[in-house]
Amino acid sequence: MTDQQKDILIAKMLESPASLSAYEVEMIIGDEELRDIYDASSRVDSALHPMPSIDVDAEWNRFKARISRKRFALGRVLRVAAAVAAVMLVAVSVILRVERFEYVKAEPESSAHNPGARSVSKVVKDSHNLLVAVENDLQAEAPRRSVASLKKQPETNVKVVEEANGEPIDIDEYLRVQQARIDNDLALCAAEVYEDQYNQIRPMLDAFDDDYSDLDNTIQSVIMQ
Amino acid sequence: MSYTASEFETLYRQFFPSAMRLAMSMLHDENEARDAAQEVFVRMWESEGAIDNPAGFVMRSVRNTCISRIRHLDIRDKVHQRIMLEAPPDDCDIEQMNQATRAAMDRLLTNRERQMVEKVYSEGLSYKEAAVSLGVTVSAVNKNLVAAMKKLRNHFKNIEI
Repeated sequence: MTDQQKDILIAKMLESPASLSAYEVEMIIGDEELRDIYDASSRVDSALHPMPSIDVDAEWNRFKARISRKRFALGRVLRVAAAVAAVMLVAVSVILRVERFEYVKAEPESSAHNPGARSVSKVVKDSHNLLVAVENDLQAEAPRRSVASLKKQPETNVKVVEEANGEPIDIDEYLRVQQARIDNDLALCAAEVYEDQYNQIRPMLDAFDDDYSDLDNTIQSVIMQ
Repeated sequence: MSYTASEFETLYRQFFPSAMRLAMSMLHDENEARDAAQEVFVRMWESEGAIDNPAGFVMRSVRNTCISRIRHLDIRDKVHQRIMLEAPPDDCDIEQMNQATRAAMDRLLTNRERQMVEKVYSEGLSYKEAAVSLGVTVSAVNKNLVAAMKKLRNHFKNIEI
Protein backbone atom coordinates (compact mmCIF):
# COMPACT_ATOMS: atom_id res chain seq x y z
CA MET A 1 0.00 0.00 0.00
CA THR A 2 1.42 3.40 -0.94
CA ASP A 3 1.51 6.32 1.46
CA GLN A 4 -1.10 8.10 -0.58
CA GLN A 5 -3.45 5.12 -0.41
CA LYS A 6 -2.84 4.97 3.32
CA ASP A 7 -3.68 8.65 3.76
CA ILE A 8 -6.90 8.23 1.82
CA LEU A 9 -7.83 5.22 3.91
CA ILE A 10 -7.03 7.04 7.15
CA ALA A 11 -9.16 10.02 6.13
CA LYS A 12 -12.08 7.73 5.28
CA MET A 13 -11.61 5.76 8.51
CA LEU A 14 -11.66 8.89 10.64
CA GLU A 15 -14.45 10.75 8.86
CA SER A 16 -16.94 8.05 7.91
CA PRO A 17 -16.00 4.54 9.06
CA ALA A 18 -19.51 3.31 8.20
CA SER A 19 -18.71 3.77 4.52
CA LEU A 20 -15.65 1.49 4.60
CA SER A 21 -15.97 -1.57 2.39
CA ALA A 22 -15.15 -5.08 3.59
CA TYR A 23 -11.86 -4.92 1.65
CA GLU A 24 -10.91 -1.59 3.20
CA VAL A 25 -11.67 -2.95 6.68
CA GLU A 26 -9.38 -5.88 5.98
CA MET A 27 -6.65 -3.49 4.85
CA ILE A 28 -6.97 -1.51 8.08
CA ILE A 29 -6.91 -4.61 10.29
CA GLY A 30 -3.94 -6.02 8.38
CA ASP A 31 -1.71 -2.92 8.71
CA GLU A 32 -0.25 -2.22 12.15
CA GLU A 33 -0.13 1.57 11.80
CA LEU A 34 -3.66 1.78 10.44
CA ARG A 35 -4.93 -0.54 13.14
CA ASP A 36 -3.28 1.56 15.87
CA ILE A 37 -4.73 4.77 14.43
CA TYR A 38 -8.14 3.11 14.34
CA ASP A 39 -7.76 2.12 18.02
CA ALA A 40 -6.87 5.70 18.93
CA SER A 41 -9.89 6.93 16.99
CA SER A 42 -12.10 4.41 18.79
CA ARG A 43 -10.84 5.55 22.21
CA VAL A 44 -11.47 9.19 21.31
CA ASP A 45 -14.97 8.31 20.18
CA SER A 46 -15.65 6.52 23.48
CA ALA A 47 -14.36 9.52 25.44
CA LEU A 48 -16.21 12.15 23.42
CA HIS A 49 -19.25 10.34 22.01
CA PRO A 50 -22.28 12.64 21.98
CA MET A 51 -24.77 11.65 24.64
CA PRO A 52 -28.48 11.88 23.92
CA SER A 53 -30.56 13.84 26.39
CA ILE A 54 -32.15 11.30 28.73
CA ASP A 55 -35.85 11.76 29.52
CA VAL A 56 -36.12 9.65 32.67
CA ASP A 57 -39.94 9.53 32.60
CA ALA A 58 -39.95 8.27 29.00
CA GLU A 59 -37.20 5.76 29.82
CA TRP A 60 -39.17 4.45 32.81
CA ASN A 61 -42.28 3.99 30.65
CA ARG A 62 -40.20 2.15 28.05
CA PHE A 63 -38.85 -0.15 30.73
CA LYS A 64 -42.34 -0.89 32.10
CA ALA A 65 -43.51 -1.73 28.57
CA ARG A 66 -40.57 -4.12 28.20
CA ILE A 67 -41.41 -5.85 31.48
CA SER A 68 -45.07 -6.12 30.43
CA ARG A 69 -44.14 -7.67 27.08
CA LYS A 70 -41.89 -10.17 28.87
CA ARG A 71 -44.70 -11.04 31.30
CA PHE A 72 -47.22 -11.36 28.42
CA ALA A 73 -44.89 -13.70 26.54
CA LEU A 74 -44.49 -15.80 29.67
CA GLY A 75 -48.26 -15.75 30.20
CA ARG A 76 -48.80 -16.88 26.64
CA VAL A 77 -46.41 -19.78 27.17
CA LEU A 78 -48.26 -20.73 30.34
CA ARG A 79 -51.62 -20.54 28.58
CA VAL A 80 -50.41 -22.74 25.73
CA ALA A 81 -48.93 -25.20 28.23
CA ALA A 82 -52.23 -25.21 30.16
CA ALA A 83 -54.20 -25.84 26.96
CA VAL A 84 -51.89 -28.68 25.96
CA ALA A 85 -52.14 -30.18 29.45
CA ALA A 86 -55.94 -29.93 29.34
CA VAL A 87 -56.12 -31.63 25.93
CA MET A 88 -53.80 -34.39 27.12
CA LEU A 89 -55.92 -34.84 30.23
CA VAL A 90 -59.06 -35.19 28.16
CA ALA A 91 -57.37 -37.59 25.77
CA VAL A 92 -56.17 -39.77 28.64
CA SER A 93 -59.61 -39.62 30.24
CA VAL A 94 -61.31 -40.65 27.01
CA ILE A 95 -58.83 -43.46 26.42
CA LEU A 96 -59.34 -44.79 29.93
CA ARG A 97 -63.12 -44.71 29.54
CA VAL A 98 -62.99 -46.39 26.16
CA GLU A 99 -60.69 -49.07 27.52
CA ARG A 100 -63.07 -49.67 30.42
CA PHE A 101 -65.95 -49.85 27.96
CA GLU A 102 -64.10 -52.40 25.84
CA TYR A 103 -63.08 -54.39 28.93
CA VAL A 104 -66.65 -54.58 30.15
CA LYS A 105 -67.88 -55.74 26.74
CA ALA A 106 -65.31 -58.56 26.74
CA GLU A 107 -65.78 -59.58 30.39
CA PRO A 108 -69.33 -58.82 31.44
CA GLU A 109 -69.30 -61.15 34.58
CA SER A 110 -66.20 -59.47 36.01
CA SER A 111 -67.80 -56.03 36.03
CA ALA A 112 -70.46 -56.83 38.56
CA HIS A 113 -69.62 -53.67 40.58
CA ASN A 114 -70.13 -51.35 37.63
CA PRO A 115 -73.79 -50.81 36.92
CA GLY A 116 -73.13 -48.88 33.68
CA ALA A 117 -70.96 -51.65 32.21
CA ARG A 118 -73.45 -54.33 33.19
CA SER A 119 -76.15 -52.42 31.40
CA VAL A 120 -74.15 -52.29 28.15
CA SER A 121 -73.51 -56.02 28.16
CA LYS A 122 -77.18 -56.56 28.87
CA VAL A 123 -77.95 -54.53 25.75
CA VAL A 124 -75.89 -56.89 23.62
CA LYS A 125 -77.54 -59.97 25.12
CA ASP A 126 -81.04 -58.58 24.98
CA SER A 127 -80.61 -57.43 21.41
CA HIS A 128 -79.64 -60.91 20.33
CA ASN A 129 -82.53 -62.53 22.26
CA LEU A 130 -85.00 -60.08 20.81
CA LEU A 131 -83.87 -60.72 17.25
CA VAL A 132 -84.17 -64.46 17.76
CA ALA A 133 -87.65 -64.11 19.32
CA VAL A 134 -88.87 -61.87 16.54
CA GLU A 135 -87.56 -64.23 13.93
CA ASN A 136 -89.35 -67.19 15.52
CA ASP A 137 -92.61 -65.24 15.72
CA LEU A 138 -92.44 -64.18 12.16
CA GLN A 139 -91.72 -67.68 11.00
CA ALA A 140 -94.74 -68.99 12.88
CA GLU A 141 -97.41 -66.39 12.09
CA ALA A 142 -96.45 -64.39 9.01
CA PRO A 143 -95.08 -64.91 5.56
CA ARG A 144 -91.40 -65.69 5.71
CA ARG A 145 -89.15 -62.56 5.88
CA SER A 146 -85.38 -62.47 5.91
CA VAL A 147 -83.71 -61.74 9.22
CA ALA A 148 -81.43 -59.40 7.34
CA SER A 149 -84.37 -57.08 6.54
CA LEU A 150 -85.35 -57.04 10.22
CA LYS A 151 -81.81 -56.32 11.24
CA LYS A 152 -81.86 -53.26 9.04
CA GLN A 153 -83.91 -51.56 11.71
CA PRO A 154 -81.69 -52.11 14.70
CA GLU A 155 -82.52 -48.82 16.32
CA THR A 156 -86.19 -49.64 16.87
CA ASN A 157 -85.52 -53.18 18.14
CA VAL A 158 -82.68 -52.49 20.55
CA LYS A 159 -83.64 -53.25 24.09
CA VAL A 160 -83.30 -50.40 26.55
CA VAL A 161 -80.52 -50.54 29.12
CA GLU A 162 -81.23 -50.86 32.80
CA GLU A 163 -79.18 -48.86 35.23
CA ALA A 164 -78.45 -49.98 38.75
CA ASN A 165 -81.25 -47.76 40.05
CA GLY A 166 -83.78 -49.57 37.81
CA GLU A 167 -84.59 -46.56 35.65
CA PRO A 168 -84.49 -47.56 31.97
CA ILE A 169 -82.14 -45.47 29.76
CA ASP A 170 -81.38 -45.68 26.06
CA ILE A 171 -77.73 -46.54 25.06
CA ASP A 172 -77.48 -43.35 23.03
CA GLU A 173 -78.60 -41.35 26.00
CA TYR A 174 -76.02 -43.15 28.12
CA LEU A 175 -73.23 -42.18 25.71
CA ARG A 176 -74.47 -38.58 25.59
CA VAL A 177 -74.37 -38.43 29.39
CA GLN A 178 -70.82 -39.78 29.45
CA GLN A 179 -69.71 -37.24 26.84
CA ALA A 180 -71.25 -34.46 28.89
CA ARG A 181 -69.30 -35.64 31.94
CA ILE A 182 -66.06 -35.59 29.97
CA ASP A 183 -66.77 -32.06 28.71
CA ASN A 184 -67.52 -30.93 32.23
CA ASP A 185 -64.25 -32.41 33.56
CA LEU A 186 -62.33 -30.65 30.80
CA ALA A 187 -63.92 -27.31 31.61
CA LEU A 188 -63.18 -27.69 35.32
CA CYS A 189 -59.52 -28.57 34.69
CA ALA A 190 -59.03 -25.61 32.36
CA ALA A 191 -60.70 -23.27 34.87
CA GLU A 192 -58.37 -24.46 37.66
CA VAL A 193 -55.27 -23.90 35.54
CA TYR A 194 -56.34 -20.41 34.47
CA GLU A 195 -57.22 -19.49 38.04
CA ASP A 196 -53.79 -20.61 39.33
CA GLN A 197 -52.04 -18.68 36.61
CA TYR A 198 -54.07 -15.53 37.29
CA ASN A 199 -53.40 -15.77 41.03
CA GLN A 200 -49.64 -16.01 40.37
CA ILE A 201 -49.43 -12.84 38.32
CA ARG A 202 -52.09 -10.86 40.13
CA PRO A 203 -49.72 -9.17 42.67
CA MET A 204 -47.56 -7.83 39.84
CA LEU A 205 -50.62 -6.66 37.91
CA ASP A 206 -51.94 -4.87 40.99
CA ALA A 207 -48.58 -3.20 41.61
CA PHE A 208 -48.37 -1.85 38.08
CA ASP A 209 -52.02 -0.83 38.10
CA ASP A 210 -51.26 1.33 41.15
CA ASP A 211 -48.27 2.91 39.40
CA TYR A 212 -50.24 3.65 36.25
CA SER A 213 -53.05 5.06 38.35
CA ASP A 214 -50.63 7.37 40.19
CA LEU A 215 -49.07 8.54 36.93
CA ASP A 216 -52.47 9.13 35.39
CA ASN A 217 -53.58 11.15 38.41
CA THR A 218 -50.40 13.22 38.23
CA ILE A 219 -50.98 13.96 34.54
CA GLN A 220 -54.59 14.90 35.19
CA SER A 221 -53.60 17.26 37.99
CA VAL A 222 -51.02 18.92 35.75
CA ILE A 223 -53.58 19.35 32.96
CA MET A 224 -56.12 20.80 35.38
CA GLN A 225 -53.66 23.46 36.63
CA MET B 1 -38.40 -9.93 42.77
CA SER B 2 -36.88 -8.34 45.88
CA TYR B 3 -38.06 -4.72 45.43
CA THR B 4 -41.50 -3.20 45.50
CA ALA B 5 -42.57 -1.44 42.32
CA SER B 6 -42.05 2.03 43.78
CA GLU B 7 -38.62 1.13 45.26
CA PHE B 8 -37.50 -0.21 41.93
CA GLU B 9 -38.76 2.86 40.09
CA THR B 10 -36.66 5.04 42.41
CA LEU B 11 -33.57 2.91 41.70
CA TYR B 12 -34.23 3.00 37.98
CA ARG B 13 -34.64 6.77 37.83
CA GLN B 14 -31.50 7.25 39.90
CA PHE B 15 -29.11 4.92 38.06
CA PHE B 16 -30.39 4.56 34.52
CA PRO B 17 -28.88 7.84 33.19
CA SER B 18 -25.32 6.88 34.21
CA ALA B 19 -25.89 3.33 32.96
CA MET B 20 -27.06 4.67 29.63
CA ARG B 21 -24.08 7.02 29.32
CA LEU B 22 -21.62 4.21 30.00
CA ALA B 23 -23.33 1.94 27.47
CA MET B 24 -23.31 4.75 24.89
CA SER B 25 -19.57 5.33 25.36
CA MET B 26 -18.93 1.65 24.71
CA LEU B 27 -21.46 0.75 22.02
CA HIS B 28 -21.75 4.12 20.20
CA ASP B 29 -25.38 3.41 19.32
CA GLU B 30 -28.36 4.78 21.26
CA ASN B 31 -30.72 1.83 20.72
CA GLU B 32 -28.07 -0.77 21.51
CA ALA B 33 -27.01 1.18 24.59
CA ARG B 34 -30.60 1.46 25.84
CA ASP B 35 -31.19 -2.25 25.28
CA ALA B 36 -28.01 -3.19 27.15
CA ALA B 37 -28.81 -0.86 30.08
CA GLN B 38 -32.41 -2.10 30.31
CA GLU B 39 -31.22 -5.69 30.25
CA VAL B 40 -29.29 -5.02 33.46
CA PHE B 41 -32.34 -3.55 35.16
CA VAL B 42 -34.51 -6.47 34.04
CA ARG B 43 -32.04 -8.76 35.80
CA MET B 44 -32.26 -6.58 38.91
CA TRP B 45 -36.05 -6.72 38.75
CA GLU B 46 -36.01 -10.52 38.52
CA SER B 47 -33.30 -11.08 41.14
CA GLU B 48 -34.40 -13.00 44.18
CA GLY B 49 -32.39 -11.19 46.83
CA ALA B 50 -31.79 -7.49 47.56
CA ILE B 51 -28.59 -6.05 46.04
CA ASP B 52 -26.25 -4.45 48.60
CA ASN B 53 -24.63 -1.89 46.33
CA PRO B 54 -27.04 -1.19 43.47
CA ALA B 55 -24.87 1.59 41.99
CA GLY B 56 -21.82 -0.64 41.75
CA PHE B 57 -23.90 -3.55 40.51
CA VAL B 58 -25.48 -1.49 37.75
CA MET B 59 -22.20 -0.04 36.44
CA ARG B 60 -20.34 -3.36 36.56
CA SER B 61 -23.21 -5.19 34.93
CA VAL B 62 -23.61 -2.61 32.17
CA ARG B 63 -19.88 -2.76 31.41
CA ASN B 64 -19.90 -6.57 31.31
CA THR B 65 -23.04 -6.67 29.18
CA CYS B 66 -21.49 -4.23 26.68
CA ILE B 67 -18.19 -6.14 26.62
CA SER B 68 -20.09 -9.34 25.90
CA ARG B 69 -21.96 -7.69 23.04
CA ILE B 70 -18.72 -6.24 21.61
CA ARG B 71 -17.10 -9.67 21.66
CA HIS B 72 -19.94 -11.06 19.56
CA LEU B 73 -19.84 -8.30 16.97
CA ASP B 74 -18.45 -8.84 13.49
CA ILE B 75 -15.22 -6.88 12.78
CA ARG B 76 -16.94 -4.86 10.07
CA ASP B 77 -19.74 -3.88 12.44
CA LYS B 78 -17.18 -2.79 15.02
CA VAL B 79 -15.29 -0.64 12.53
CA HIS B 80 -18.48 0.90 11.19
CA GLN B 81 -19.39 1.99 14.72
CA ARG B 82 -15.83 2.91 15.72
CA ILE B 83 -16.02 0.31 18.47
CA MET B 84 -12.77 -0.98 19.92
CA LEU B 85 -11.49 -4.05 18.07
CA GLU B 86 -10.32 -5.78 21.24
CA ALA B 87 -12.82 -5.86 24.09
CA PRO B 88 -11.29 -4.30 27.22
CA PRO B 89 -10.32 -6.67 30.03
CA ASP B 90 -12.99 -7.54 32.56
CA ASP B 91 -11.38 -5.46 35.30
CA CYS B 92 -11.03 -2.36 33.13
CA ASP B 93 -12.70 0.79 34.40
CA ILE B 94 -14.20 2.29 31.26
CA GLU B 95 -14.83 5.71 32.76
CA GLN B 96 -11.26 5.89 34.01
CA MET B 97 -10.03 4.95 30.53
CA ASN B 98 -12.16 7.72 29.01
CA GLN B 99 -10.85 10.24 31.49
CA ALA B 100 -7.26 9.24 30.64
CA THR B 101 -8.03 9.73 26.94
CA ARG B 102 -9.45 13.20 27.53
CA ALA B 103 -6.44 14.09 29.68
CA ALA B 104 -4.07 12.92 26.93
CA MET B 105 -5.93 14.99 24.37
CA ASP B 106 -5.69 18.09 26.57
CA ARG B 107 -1.97 17.56 27.06
CA LEU B 108 -0.80 16.48 23.60
CA LEU B 109 -3.06 18.17 21.04
CA THR B 110 -2.87 21.75 19.85
CA ASN B 111 -5.93 23.94 20.27
CA ARG B 112 -6.70 23.61 16.58
CA GLU B 113 -6.40 19.86 16.65
CA ARG B 114 -8.54 19.63 19.78
CA GLN B 115 -11.14 21.90 18.21
CA MET B 116 -11.41 19.74 15.11
CA VAL B 117 -11.55 16.51 17.12
CA GLU B 118 -14.44 17.98 19.15
CA LYS B 119 -16.32 19.01 16.00
CA VAL B 120 -16.06 15.59 14.35
CA TYR B 121 -16.27 13.26 17.38
CA SER B 122 -18.25 15.16 19.98
CA GLU B 123 -20.64 17.08 17.75
CA GLY B 124 -20.78 14.40 15.04
CA LEU B 125 -20.10 16.81 12.14
CA SER B 126 -18.78 15.69 8.79
CA TYR B 127 -15.42 17.04 7.58
CA LYS B 128 -17.24 19.50 5.35
CA GLU B 129 -19.54 20.72 8.14
CA ALA B 130 -16.58 21.06 10.53
CA ALA B 131 -14.64 22.99 7.90
CA VAL B 132 -17.54 25.40 7.36
CA SER B 133 -18.02 25.77 11.11
CA LEU B 134 -14.37 26.63 11.72
CA GLY B 135 -13.83 28.59 8.53
CA VAL B 136 -11.14 26.29 7.17
CA THR B 137 -10.81 23.87 4.29
CA VAL B 138 -11.75 20.21 4.37
CA SER B 139 -8.12 19.39 3.73
CA ALA B 140 -7.11 21.32 6.86
CA VAL B 141 -9.62 19.38 8.94
CA ASN B 142 -8.27 16.10 7.61
CA LYS B 143 -4.67 17.07 8.18
CA ASN B 144 -5.27 18.15 11.79
CA LEU B 145 -7.30 15.07 12.63
CA VAL B 146 -4.72 12.69 11.22
CA ALA B 147 -1.98 14.48 13.16
CA ALA B 148 -4.06 14.28 16.35
CA MET B 149 -4.69 10.57 15.96
CA LYS B 150 -1.06 9.81 15.29
CA LYS B 151 0.00 11.67 18.44
CA LEU B 152 -2.55 9.77 20.52
CA ARG B 153 -1.57 6.48 18.90
CA ASN B 154 2.08 7.00 19.93
CA HIS B 155 0.98 7.99 23.44
CA PHE B 156 -1.17 4.88 23.94
CA LYS B 157 1.57 2.64 22.52
CA ASN B 158 4.09 4.11 24.98
CA ILE B 159 1.70 3.46 27.84
CA GLU B 160 1.41 -0.19 26.84
CA ILE B 161 5.21 -0.52 26.65
